[in-house]
Amino acid sequence: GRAEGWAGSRSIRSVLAGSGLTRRSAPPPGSAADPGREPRAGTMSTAMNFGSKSFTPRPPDKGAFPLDHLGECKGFKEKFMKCLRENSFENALCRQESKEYLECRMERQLMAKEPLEKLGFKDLIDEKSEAKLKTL
Amino acid sequence: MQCRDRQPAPTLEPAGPGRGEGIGATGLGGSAVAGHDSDQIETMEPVKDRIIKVTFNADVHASLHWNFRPQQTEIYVVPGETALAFYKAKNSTDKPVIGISTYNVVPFEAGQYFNKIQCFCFEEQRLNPQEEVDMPVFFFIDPEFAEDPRMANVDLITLSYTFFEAKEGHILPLPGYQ
Repeated sequence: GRAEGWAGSRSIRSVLAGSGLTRRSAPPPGSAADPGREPRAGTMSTAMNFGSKSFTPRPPDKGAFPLDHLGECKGFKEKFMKCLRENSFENALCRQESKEYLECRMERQLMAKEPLEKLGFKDLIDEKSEAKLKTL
Repeated sequence: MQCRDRQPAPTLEPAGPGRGEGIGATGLGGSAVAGHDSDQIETMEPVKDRIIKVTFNADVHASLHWNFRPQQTEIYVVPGETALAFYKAKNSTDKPVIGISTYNVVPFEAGQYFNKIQCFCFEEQRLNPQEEVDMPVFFFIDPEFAEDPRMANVDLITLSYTFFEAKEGHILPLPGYQ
């Protein structure tokens, strides 16, 4: 049967043990056969540290971005990355560029349209951006 | 607007024409609905004196032949301010491959304050042969991070994504993956 999300570490252990997803000949780290072993980098247990206090991932609030297969917003991404490189990777100095990247996605159905203030850009909103969004 | 209500449950069917292809085939197709989190984002204020370095790791499961890497090694953010970062993935094989990713945040205790507004995780992503795509992560650190005494000495958060291949018959213990 299929694993039911994160319900119970024991069921996930048995899933990992039986899944055949790890290639190593040793028992998968964290499996029932190997409960106390340290997880190795590069295996599935990177994200799941059974038997110890561990982080539980949550899905993103607004779901997944569709892939930009045609690279339609690549130029805006490049502009943003250039800004980061020129500003010691300080996010606060590149928010205009990040806003423009997300606006590009919204204009091309690569992201659900949202008012910019709901994306944390209320201080960067001007009439032009708002008017543009309303026409989409 | 919660992920669970909106996206179709990923399936374990083999890839075929029309499934997972094209823009908008996965992820959001409809309009956004204001929810609790959108209100929080709209009203939160950046805590400008708490600079946090976020570093990025990328990993692939052994059987997934993708070149997957972050496009920046680090970014400096403050709680209460939305931030954008990019990964990049290339399918270096000669066949379409569907991957699905999960993520991890360390330190563990900081993870509860790490909010992903939107990213590329938990949903199948199909790359055609030799295709390379940008994969954005749009996130913020909850302003309450700055008020948690346990976080007083935390100024480095590491975000790690791991991609797996989504193949029929394999079970991946990912939230909401059935």
